[in-house]
Amino acid sequence: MREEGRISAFQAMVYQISVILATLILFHPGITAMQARQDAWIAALIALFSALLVVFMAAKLALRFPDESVIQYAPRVMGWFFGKLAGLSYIFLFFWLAYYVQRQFGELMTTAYFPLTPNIVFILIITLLAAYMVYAGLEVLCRVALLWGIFVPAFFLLFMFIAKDINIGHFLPVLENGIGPAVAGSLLPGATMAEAAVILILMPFISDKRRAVPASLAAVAAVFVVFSIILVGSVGSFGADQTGRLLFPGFTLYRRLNIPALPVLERLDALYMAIWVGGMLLKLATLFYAGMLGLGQWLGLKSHRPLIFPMGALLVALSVRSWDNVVQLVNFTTEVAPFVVLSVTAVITGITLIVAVLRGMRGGPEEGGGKRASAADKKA
Amino acid sequence: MRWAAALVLLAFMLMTAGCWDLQQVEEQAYITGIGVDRTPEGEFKLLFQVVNPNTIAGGGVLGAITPGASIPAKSFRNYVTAGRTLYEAERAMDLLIPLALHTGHNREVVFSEAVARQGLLDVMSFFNRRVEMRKLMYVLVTQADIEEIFDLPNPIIAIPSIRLEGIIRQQHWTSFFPVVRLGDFLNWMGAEGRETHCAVVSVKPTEARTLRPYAGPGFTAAEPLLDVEVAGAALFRKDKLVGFLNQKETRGLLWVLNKVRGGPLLIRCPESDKFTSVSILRAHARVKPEISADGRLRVTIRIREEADLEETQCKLDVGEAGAIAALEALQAKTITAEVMSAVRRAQECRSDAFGFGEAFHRRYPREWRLMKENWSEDFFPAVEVEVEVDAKIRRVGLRKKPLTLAPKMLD
Repeated sequence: MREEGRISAFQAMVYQISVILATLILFHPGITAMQARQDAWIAALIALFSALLVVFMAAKLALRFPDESVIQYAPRVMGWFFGKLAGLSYIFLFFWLAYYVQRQFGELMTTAYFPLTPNIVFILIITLLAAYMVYAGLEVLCRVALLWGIFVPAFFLLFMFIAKDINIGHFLPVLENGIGPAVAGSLLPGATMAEAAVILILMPFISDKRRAVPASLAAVAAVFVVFSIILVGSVGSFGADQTGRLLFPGFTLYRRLNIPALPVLERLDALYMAIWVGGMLLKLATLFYAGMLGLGQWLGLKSHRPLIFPMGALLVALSVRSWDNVVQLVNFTTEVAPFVVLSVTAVITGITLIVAVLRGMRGGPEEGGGKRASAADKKA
Repeated sequence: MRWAAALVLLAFMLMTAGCWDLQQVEEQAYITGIGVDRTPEGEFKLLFQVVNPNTIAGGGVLGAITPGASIPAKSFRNYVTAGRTLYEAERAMDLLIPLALHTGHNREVVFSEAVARQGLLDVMSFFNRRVEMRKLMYVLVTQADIEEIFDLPNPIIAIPSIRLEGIIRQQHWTSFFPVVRLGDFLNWMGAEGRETHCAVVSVKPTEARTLRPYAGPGFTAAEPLLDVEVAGAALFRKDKLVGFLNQKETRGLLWVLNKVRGGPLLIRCPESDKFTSVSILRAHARVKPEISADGRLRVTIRIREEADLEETQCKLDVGEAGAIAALEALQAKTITAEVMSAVRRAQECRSDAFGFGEAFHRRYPREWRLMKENWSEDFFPAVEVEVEVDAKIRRVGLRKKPLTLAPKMLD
């Protein structure tokens, strides 16, 4: 599988950020605020630590088998049948998240800007773009992600304008109803941040594997920061109650933003949307890519490229047919998505890691950069 | 070949800018003011003020109303429809307007007293749900007719909704009314331990008279007979209007909310019937709730304020030691009186616009659980309020000693 080229650990981090970020800033702040109320920031912290744990586990597992993806070594670790099943569940997760992302993208675009345009137009456009990126391969994908990543600091810039509207009182009293609501609220963002477990697929292509573990954890920390900005910004300026009632708090937050001294700088939601649309495309492309790569390996194909467009068409159909309306989509996000994501990223990864450790299995050193890989193993 | 392809793609980008939702600027009717009232039949009456760009750009179109006449067209047009829901009423307007209605640039929404007393929850869905409606528009309540508010002529700013926005933007000269945007209004309406409020707009007869004849060629138009005035605040309980604050009471509320940005403060001179005016520079308030051992609710409001001396009729030498301090003490008394009058009025109306409930919720979460159900009815009116003001006068203008008349003229 050398055809996919090589990426650095830093690029892998950008890849992981792209996988997580875009959806994390859409519905999630509203749902977290609804469940955790004024303790939403505590929920975000709990989510950070649980996601760090899951991703650390995934990165450790990936590092045990530095030259293969989880799809390839799972049958060796857990036996052919269960290994293939585990592999399939990873592939399923990536595709499932991919068409879920397509639908979310379509929903916000139609809600916010194009009420008359059919949903499928946006889904088709974003899927065609993503399919092209997947076709171009991993290195191209990472470079595009990096290009987009340059604009993410704009969030920080915008936050300076929100900061003046934040009322600390909206976060009090702390832990009014105990830690329970905060834990419940942490589930969804935690599950989403745990999607950085995509490192299991990426590991064979990373050139400096030693740095893959810290890079993965850094990716989780980075998305946590952006998530917290939106969450703290919207809870601080609307109050937990209102934030919980909003469909897209981040969007509303930036839409409300105004600077009395600079009346020109209004409607900054356009900037938010520009970052978000790019993020959504990258999220779809990265998930789609991980799924395609996994599928190719799972079926034992020489190349997954011929399957890209058929699979893309399938995803479009699934994204349109799976939910009737935006409310279903939100309820699905709250009640189903976190459990499915965690059961794959945490449970299956955990079982695989435990079995691998118990059986003392690890991947052989790489032919090319053998020294590096073995050094990484020693460290691990 | 590559360049050609790129050019074709660029051309596509320009042409396919809106998919199904393409909106042409010249085909939009820009709404700058919305009024909501009730009809006698119990339906909602909706008023949209649409600007007429033709009259603004070219200095007026003559003969637009009566062909051939020399009366210029108004620079706006008000449309009024009725419906069970506001959306119904809005769409009824499409039967009258040859352009697509665009509410994205709306400046303010004015609710009539009738609608506000009945409850704004029913109408807020219309404003809250639509993406195009910006949460930055101002919210106002009026006891006058909304059609009057949106039609009063005034040559200085011809479009009434834009004029109203202009008045609101000048609020920092007085602080006699609150600047409440739709987003704040909605947040407070949904908040626990706080009631919402907004500014009040009314119609006032013009004091200025027109002396020059205004009929016939070469003469000017008459002075408008009426003016709009924004002053005071409307207090709500849940979504229903329950009472009004006058100008001074409103500023009493704004002191507590930390929203006073300036304005005149009238101080009675010691031992005389004359007055001194200072202008507020800045102010900051802290609200501290307390539940005493015997279960009484107390709120201490600490206000720090700075002002400039603007005008005095007192025989006061500000250069003298203690003169400034005396004025400062009087000034503090005035501020305390303003705050206390607002608190009394709000307690009478059982409308906690100050957010005292929120303050108790933060400090006493456990006790709050018992209070929150009946907060406005039972607890808020019984809150004891204490105001501590630290008022300063920083500058006195160009004069130290007062202007005095020579002794000979006194006799």
